[in-house]
Amino acid sequence: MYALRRWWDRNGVKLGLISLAVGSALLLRQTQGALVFETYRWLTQPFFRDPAQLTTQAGTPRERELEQRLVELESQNQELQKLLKYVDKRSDKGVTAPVIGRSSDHWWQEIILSRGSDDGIQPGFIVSGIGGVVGRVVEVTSHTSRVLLISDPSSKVGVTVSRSRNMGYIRGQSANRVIMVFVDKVPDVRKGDVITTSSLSRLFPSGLPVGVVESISFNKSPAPEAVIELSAPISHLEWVIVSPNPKVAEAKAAEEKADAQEPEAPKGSETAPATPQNQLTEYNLPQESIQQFQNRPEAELPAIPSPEQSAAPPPTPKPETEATPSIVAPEATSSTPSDPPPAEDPVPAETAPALPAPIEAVPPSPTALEGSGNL
Amino acid sequence: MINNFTKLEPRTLQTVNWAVTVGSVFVCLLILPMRLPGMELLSVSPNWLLIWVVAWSVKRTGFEGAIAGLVLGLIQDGMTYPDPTHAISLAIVGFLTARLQKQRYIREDFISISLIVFGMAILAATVTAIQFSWHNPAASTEMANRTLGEIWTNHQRIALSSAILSSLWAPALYYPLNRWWEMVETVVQPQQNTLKNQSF
Repeated sequence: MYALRRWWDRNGVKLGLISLAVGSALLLRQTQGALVFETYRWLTQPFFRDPAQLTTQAGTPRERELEQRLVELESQNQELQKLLKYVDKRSDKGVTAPVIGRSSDHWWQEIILSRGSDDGIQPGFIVSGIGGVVGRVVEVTSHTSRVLLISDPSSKVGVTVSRSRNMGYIRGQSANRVIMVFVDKVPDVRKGDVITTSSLSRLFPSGLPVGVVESISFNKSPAPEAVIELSAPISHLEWVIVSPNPKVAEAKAAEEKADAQEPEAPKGSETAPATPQNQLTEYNLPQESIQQFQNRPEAELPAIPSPEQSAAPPPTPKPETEATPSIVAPEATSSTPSDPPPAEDPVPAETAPALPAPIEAVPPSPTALEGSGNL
Repeated sequence: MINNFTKLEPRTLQTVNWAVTVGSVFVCLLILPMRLPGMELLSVSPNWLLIWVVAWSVKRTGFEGAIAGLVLGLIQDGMTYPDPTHAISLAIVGFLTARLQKQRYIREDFISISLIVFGMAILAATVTAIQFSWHNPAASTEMANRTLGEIWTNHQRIALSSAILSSLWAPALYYPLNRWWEMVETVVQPQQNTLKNQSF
């Protein structure tokens, strides 16, 4: 007893301090370092210009002309969409946010924004810079948010070649290059083609510009790969636009609905106009690859509704995969053994013309291309 | 300035000491997301938490070093991704640094601190890379999207750049912290010794 007391007298304070330190570390970990990021934001605030000033800067006469033409085309597009009774689920409201920091770790490609949940930002929101999509919000505090960039190796985004509708997914390579892995064995793709997010992407809305094809290697196994130069200047972003993600909102609504009703309840709001055959031929896939695609085991397939199903609404998505926006690809397995070293060249901001998104067919169902790494 | 502190009561001085220690950790945490000119090489910045752990562990026991590494690692987990955890690599760094100094192989000065930081930064990056590779077959988390080739190509870049940068920046953190801790020790230690002698 005496020995115990002596031990306590000697080491009690130390023990207390250690548990205090570990306890507060765990608390910081649990709150995702909110205290640190809030302080960081408060300290760095005076050094960043108001992004409103940047957006309202007048461009060159050529830029102004292009902007005016864009407005004209957008209004025309809206008229046509009205005629077609096309429902655009994308909303235009976005928050402009200055980039105040980068990742606190070398293994993840992240940026920290100076806007948070107080400005309405939620995890899963889409972040875009000048030129194209940049990443996705993964963590929010009241005044800051953390964004996982699409150049991170863990970001897998379903993309499509704007011209030929060939599909694939991109894998981050760090800095300004990503690798696009095609679904198809013989994709119709050329140097300079514009790459946009595909309608089968689970985490990003379709039609957002991503980048431009820089080089293609057709003899990669298991599928051809292309090096994509991202159109947004990822390595020197100063401010970005954060906009709500219709896909995440949809998934949430679907999940709530599924919770409220029985699990197999159909969704009434969405219709899928394209049969799988139409959908695939529309992408210019050769006949054999369509068959190959359709004959795949069920687990690897993005769920494309059969013709009789397509009249009916698509099945409700699985809540555990759809409702967690912070996880990109739960069951992805990459099987490419060798990869080129990461490219580090900085890229000028005005390399890629960001084409306006083409009107996409309503996706057959909110399926996951990102999840199926072998496609 | 330091002389003013030496006149303080030992208990007050201990409190100030803890405040300085915790404050220095907090400063390190605040510098982490920053990318100032001169602090970046191949888009990698110095590993400030590792520098702090080395500075802390150099004159302490292996246990204290490991605990410091664990605590800072947990905090860094919160600021980035908790999987794979940073606590393991930093705890190993803390423990090894403390053991290294005990053997008196290396004299204690700026150069040796820079050398220790250089080695430890490479070790920490390697431990993390092994953690990434280890988790790879599980294929259930975000980490699974990295192929082995990607992990080890990244490892080369990260290990080398962070080792060079961290060792260059190490004295900037080590020198003031070491001065402070030495001062506290010179004030507190004699008093503790006299107390011990009285009690026996």
